Amino acid sequence: MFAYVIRRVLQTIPVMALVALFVFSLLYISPGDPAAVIAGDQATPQDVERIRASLGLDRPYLVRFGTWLWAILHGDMGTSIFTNLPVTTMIAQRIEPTLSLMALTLVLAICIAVPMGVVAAWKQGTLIDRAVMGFAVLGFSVPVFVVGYLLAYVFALELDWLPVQGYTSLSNGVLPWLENLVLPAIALGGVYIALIARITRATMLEVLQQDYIRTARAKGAGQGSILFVHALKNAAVPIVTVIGIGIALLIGGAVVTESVFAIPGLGRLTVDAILRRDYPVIQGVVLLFSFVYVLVNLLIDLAYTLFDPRIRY
Amino acid sequence: MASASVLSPIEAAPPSGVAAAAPLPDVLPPVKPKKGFIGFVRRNPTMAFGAALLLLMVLVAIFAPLLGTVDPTALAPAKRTREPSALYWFGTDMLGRDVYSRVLYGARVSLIVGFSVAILASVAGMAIGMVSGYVRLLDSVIMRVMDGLMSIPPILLAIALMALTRGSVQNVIIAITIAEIPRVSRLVRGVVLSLREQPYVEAAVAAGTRTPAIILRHILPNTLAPITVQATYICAAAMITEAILSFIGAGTPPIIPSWGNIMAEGRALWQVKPYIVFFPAVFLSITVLAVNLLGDGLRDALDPRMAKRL
Repeated sequence: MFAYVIRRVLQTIPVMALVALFVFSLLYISPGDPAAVIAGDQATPQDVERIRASLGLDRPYLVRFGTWLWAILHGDMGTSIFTNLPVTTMIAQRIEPTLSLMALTLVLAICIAVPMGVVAAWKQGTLIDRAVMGFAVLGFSVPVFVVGYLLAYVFALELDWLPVQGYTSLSNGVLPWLENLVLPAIALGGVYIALIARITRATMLEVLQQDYIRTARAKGAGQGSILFVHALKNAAVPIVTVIGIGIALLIGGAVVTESVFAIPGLGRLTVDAILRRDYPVIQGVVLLFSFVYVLVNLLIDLAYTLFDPRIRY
Repeated sequence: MASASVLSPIEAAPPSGVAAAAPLPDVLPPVKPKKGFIGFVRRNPTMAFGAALLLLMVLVAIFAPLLGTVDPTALAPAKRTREPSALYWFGTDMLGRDVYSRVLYGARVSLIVGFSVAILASVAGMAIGMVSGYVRLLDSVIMRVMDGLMSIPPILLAIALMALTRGSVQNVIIAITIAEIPRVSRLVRGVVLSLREQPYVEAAVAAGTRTPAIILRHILPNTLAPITVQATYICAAAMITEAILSFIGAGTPPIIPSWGNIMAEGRALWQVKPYIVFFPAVFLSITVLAVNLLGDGLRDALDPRMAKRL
C-alpha cells in the first residue's frame, strides 16, 4: 500500500513537468518582447539589449525554463504585464469566489445526481428512468451560459427571488453568500449532474445484478438499504472517478459562469488577462487549475481503498 | 392444428360462465424487421430524430441567404434594439443589425467548427493512437505527453492557445482540435490494444499477414465504430467550446456573426433586451442536442450491449 502511494505520487511528477513545460512554452512563444515594453519608446537598441540580458531573456530555452520552474517552486509566478502586481497576489485576491462556486457546485451536483442515478437504475425502463436520461442528454447539450442566463432571467429578473449578479464574501454571512452563488452553482452544475447521474445509473444497473444484492433482498433488507448501502457502496469507485475527471468541466465552466454572473473570481481574471494578452497571468491560472485537477485525481486514486477494501496494492 | 390441442389440453374445457379466449395460434408470425427508411426510423428513433434536426440546421446554414435574411453585418443605428416583430423576427441588436439574419448565418460558424474539429481530432487521434498501440517503444512517451495535455482542462487549453494567436475561425478550429486530441488518442490506443489480442488478429499474424495489412484490414475497420461515436461527441463539445471562446472574446473575430459573438454582444443589454442572447442560445442548444442525440443513437446501434446500460 505504502509503496503504491509513493509510486502513484511519483507518477504525477512527469505529468506536472509536462504541463509546466507546455505552459512555459506558451509564454516563450507569445508575441511581443517584454524587454522592449519595459525599456519604453525612447530606448536605444543597446538599452533593450541590456534589459533583455538583465531579465535573462537572452539565455537558451531550457535554461530559462529551469529558472522559471525554480521560481514557480518558490511561489513566484512572475509579474502581471498589465497591473505590475505579482501573479500570486492577483490569484490570491480572486481565489475565494471561484473556490466557493466550485465547492458549492460539487456538493449540489453530487447531492442531486447520485440519488437521480440510483433511482433511475432502480426503476429501469420506467418513466422516471426515461426522465432522468432525458435530463442527462439536455444537461450535456445546453451550454452553461445558456442555463445561467435562463436561471438569472427567471429567478432574479422576473421572480426577483435572488440577486441577478455579483458575489458576497463568505465572511459577510452564509446566507448572502449562498443567495449570490446558488444560481451560478446550478448553472455550472448542469453538465456535471448529467455526467454523474449517467455513470451512477450505469454502474448501479451492473451492481444490482450481483448475487449479493439478491442475498440482501433474501435476508429481508429494506429497498432503501439495498440501494444506498449494499449497491451504492459497491458502485462507488467508477462514480468517484467520474466526479474527479468531471472537475475539468467545472474549471472550464467556471470561467464562463463567472462572466455571466459577474463574479470576481479566477475565471474573470482569466478572461480579462486574455483580452489584455497578459501572458504571465494566463500562465499562472492555467498552471494552478491544472495542478488542482491533477491533485484531486491523485487523491481520488489514493482513496479507492476506502471505497472498496477489495482493492489492494 | 393438431399439435396445438396436444400441447394445450386446458383450452379444450373452459369452465362454464367464463368466456373462452380465442385459441392462440401455435406459431407466432415471424417478426419481420421492416426494411427501408421507415424501418430504420422505427429501430433508431433517437438517431433519426437527431439526424433530422441536424440536417435541418445544416440546410438553414447553407441556404441562409434564401431564408428572408438581410446582410448580417449591415449596420442601421437608427433601428437599434428593436423588439422582435413581424419585420425583425428576432429583433435588432444595439448596432441595428438584424438578429434573425445573424443567428442564421451564425449556424455556419458553429457547424463548420463542430464538423472540422470532429474530423481533424478523429484523424489525428487515430494516427497517434494507432502508433501508440502498435509501437511499444513510443507508447509510454506518447501517453505521458497525452497525460500532460489531458491534465489541462480542455477549455482552458483552448483559451491558452487562442491567447497566442489572432482570433479567426481557422485558429479556433486548431485550438479546439489540439485540446480534444488526447482523449481520442487514448480511446484508439485502448481499442487497438484489445484488438491485438483478438483471435482473428492472431490468426492473421499466424497466417503470415504483414503488419501494415493487419492494421489496414483488421484493426482499422474495427476502430471505426467507437471513433464515429466519439466524433459526434467531439463535434458537440467543439460547438460549445467555440461559443464559449467567442463569448469571452477569445474566439471568432467579432466581424463574423457566430452564436457566441451574438451572445457576447447582447451580454451588456441582456437584462433589458434578453432576446439578443435568447435566440442564439436556443439555436446553439438545439444544434448541440441534435448532435448528441445522433451520437447516442449511433452508440446504441453500433454496440447493442451498451445500449441497455447507458
